Parts: sequence; C-alpha cells; structure tokens
Amino acid sequence: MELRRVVNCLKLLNWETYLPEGCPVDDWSERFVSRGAERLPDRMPGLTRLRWKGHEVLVVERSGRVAIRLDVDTPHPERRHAAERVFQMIVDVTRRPGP
Amino acid sequence: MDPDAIAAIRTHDDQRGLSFFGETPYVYHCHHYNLFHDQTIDDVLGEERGAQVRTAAARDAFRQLLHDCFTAARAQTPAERIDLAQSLFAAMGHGKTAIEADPDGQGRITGSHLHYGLCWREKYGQKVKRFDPVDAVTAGFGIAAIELAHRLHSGELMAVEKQCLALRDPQCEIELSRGEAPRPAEVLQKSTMRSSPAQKGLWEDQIEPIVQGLLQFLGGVAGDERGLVQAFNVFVTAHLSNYYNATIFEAMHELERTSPAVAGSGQKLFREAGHVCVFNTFGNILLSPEWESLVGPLPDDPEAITAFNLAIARSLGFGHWLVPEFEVGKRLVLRTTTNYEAPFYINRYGVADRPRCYVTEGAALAFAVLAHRVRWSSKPSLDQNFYDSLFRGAGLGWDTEVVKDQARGDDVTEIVVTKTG
Repeated sequence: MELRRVVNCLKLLNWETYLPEGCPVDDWSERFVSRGAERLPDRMPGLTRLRWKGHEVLVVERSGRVAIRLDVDTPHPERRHAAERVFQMIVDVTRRPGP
Repeated sequence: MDPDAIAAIRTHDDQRGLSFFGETPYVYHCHHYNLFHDQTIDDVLGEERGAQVRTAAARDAFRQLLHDCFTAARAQTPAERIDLAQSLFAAMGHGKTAIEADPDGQGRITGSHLHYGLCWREKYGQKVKRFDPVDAVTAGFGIAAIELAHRLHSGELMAVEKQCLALRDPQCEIELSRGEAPRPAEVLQKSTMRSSPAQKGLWEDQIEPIVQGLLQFLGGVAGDERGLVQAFNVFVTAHLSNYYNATIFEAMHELERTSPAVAGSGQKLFREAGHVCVFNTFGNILLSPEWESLVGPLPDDPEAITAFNLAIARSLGFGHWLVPEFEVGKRLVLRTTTNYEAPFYINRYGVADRPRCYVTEGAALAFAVLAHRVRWSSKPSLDQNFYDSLFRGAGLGWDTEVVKDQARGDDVTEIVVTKTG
C-alpha cells in the first residue's frame, strides 16, 4: 500500500491510498471501527465514511480507493506526519484483523 | 438550525436546474471560485469600493433568505433570530459565527473558521502577505441578521473587519456600527424568475441519473461543527446567487460608466471566473471519491466528460444546461433554458443591450477544454500550473461566441465553442 498526496491548493490536507485488491470494505470498516474509528452517516451509496482522531477517511467500495481528509485545524508543519499516522492505521487494520 | 429544518425549506426545481431556500435561489461553489470571484470584484473596483459592494450585496441577499427563514420558523425574539441565522450560515458552509449586538445594531461578529478567511489562508497564506480582510460576505450576512433581529431599517449599519484569518490574525472579527450604508437593492426570488421550458439535449439518459444521485448527496451536506463543508476535496458553500450576480453586474456597470475603455477587461475577468469554476469545482468533483462512488472511474472521452459536467451544473443549481450539438475536437454548443445569471439581470436592470452571462460563457469554454485537453484517467493534479497550462497564454485553442443570451431577451442562452488552432 502506498500513501499519495492529492495535489491541489489545500496545503497537504488531502491524501489517498488503495486497499489491496479483494479486500472486503465492509469487514475492513468494521475492523477500523473496532480500533477506534467512528462511522459517519452515509451520504452516497457505495461510499463508507469514517472518522479517526478528527480526520475523515472515505472508502470507495467499488475500487478500494481510500481518501484521507485531514482535519483543517491540523497545523501545516504537522500535516504530513498526521497523514502518515492515519495511513499507518489503515495499513494496520488491513494487515492485522481483530482489535 | 438542524439538518431536518434546513431540508424542509430546501427545494430543487428539476425542470429548471435551480435550487432554493424558500424563495431564495442558491448555488454551490467551491472556495477556489469564491476567492477568485471576490478578488475579481476588487480588481475591477479597487479594494475599498469592492468590499463595499460585496458587503451590500451579501446583506441584501441574506436579508431575503433570513426573512423567509424567520417567518417559516416563527422566530420572533432577537435571540431566536440571531441563533437561527448563525445556524443557517454554518449549515451552508460559511463558518460558525458569534453575533453580539445592541438593540440599535452596534456590535460585532466573530468567527474562527469563516469560509473566506480560512480558505484564503489555506490557498495563499504561505505565499502571499495580504493587507485587506476578505470576509465581506460574513459582514453582509451579520448586518442582515442584526437588522432583522432588531427590526432595523436596512442601510443604516456599517461593518469593518478588524481582524481576519487571511491577515494571519487568530480569528475574524467584524465591528458593526451605525452609519450611512448603501441603500438596499432588489434581489431575485423564485416567484420572479423567468425561464424557458426545459429542452432535451445529448446524453440525457446518462445525465439524469447522475443529477439525481448528486442531488441526493447534496441534500445531506451541511456544515460540520465549525460550519465548514469539506467535500469533493474542496471547501464547498451553498451560496446565494443574488450575491454573485449583484457583485458582478454592479461592478461591470460601474466599470462601463467610469472607465468604458477597459470594460472589456472586466468582461474577460468574469468569463475567467467561469473557467476557474469549472476547472476547480467541476474538476475536483470529477476526481473525488464521492464521484467515483456514484459514477465510476473517469474515461478519457470528451462526450462523457461533457455529459458529466452538464449533470454537475444542473445539480449545483446553475440552471438547466444542455448540449444540443457536439463534434469531438471541433465544436460544442452549450444552451441553457435557465441559468442563474440572466434572470437576475433582467429582474434588476431590464433587458440587456449586450451579452451578460459571463460565468456561463466562461464555463462553456472550460467544458470544451476539460473535455479535450485533460487525461482524466491519469487523475491529474488540479493545481495552478495545470490551470495556467490549460487556460492562460497562447495555447487555449478554443473560442466562444454568444449567439443567444436570455439577459438580452432571447428565449435561451446559447454559446458556441469552436476549436481555433
């Protein structure tokens, strides 16, 4: 898995990665919730929304794309590190099932 | 104001592609457009006059909206009205505000996450030192809220932004005092909007389900605990088209009166606002996880991308936009049976003597450019360099001709975009 910065004018706020092919999003989301993520109300069919430590994590069920939207109050110098922490958690949830 | 109460006053007219809070038309725009729009008003009028025009336009637009909301919610006391106004403003994505005012209207508005100030700081703050505050929309909104809460006449409150996030202050603070402000001007209402019957264009079967999906999504969107809407990788606002229109047309009329020789430059800037809108708002929607979830991966197909853009325009409340003719690589005809610019113009100023749908014209050109010159499947970065490579300099390669304009009294607005090189 690889963390990629989404380049637009927002300074290091948007990042993304992909779940491994075949990873079932429902199970994965449940595991993430059991590790402290909060499930947010669905806004779009096929799009799972979670929040972990103030950052939003969106998972596209059809492709396994995972968008990380950092809390805008994260200070600029800490954003890369914050994104890496979220990414590390995503990797952890993917590789180590169970709380 | 809870989401259910907002949903109760929010409607979308499918035939016209327009959205309303009660009687008040609104559209969605992202922070890129909002910042560019306001900067353009200031470029045309100068910072001081620009801020004055923007504040008055926001006041008039929000006054209409808040009046309807207070009536619908039967909010009677000043405290109820201020509370409702703050909730609605935050739900629209403009940021959480704290309004304090005496019965004579003097007071202040503060906010630590106002859309304009915060987004300016995010977009430009590390590169540019700014000297003028940016939150005229909040100032105008606050004036309207206080006028209506304390039942004051409009045009007697002034606002001065003393602190602003864009100036690297810790929060925004706007001071309100009694003074001579611009007189209120007429704004457009649902019941006074003229339009032509909807027509069908190309790809309708593809467009309509996407419109419905986006509308369903947008219906659930509301500001977070800070009053911000972060969606499609941008900050989004539900904003009043009366504000956008009043500022553009007041600025253009003033420019035509005072400096007619450079009026063409003003038109060019407002057409560019259409490029900025489509590149950033539409582009970021297309590349977003929300879009991928609704529609799927993006093809490198000019027809599909144009159909997608039409669906986006209709669902954002821009009007009933359609493409009746399309020749890949050569020609695109954008027609609107309704757009959000023309009805306002006619309602406030009467029939125009020249084309006035600047943003729609700019958007038409941007449709052609985004359809033909962007490899969407590669998920490009929508940054300033990419924008410049597409829309600035000699390489644009497409030109527009406005053949019909509803602001000029025509039955529809029609823009022909042609490949030039």
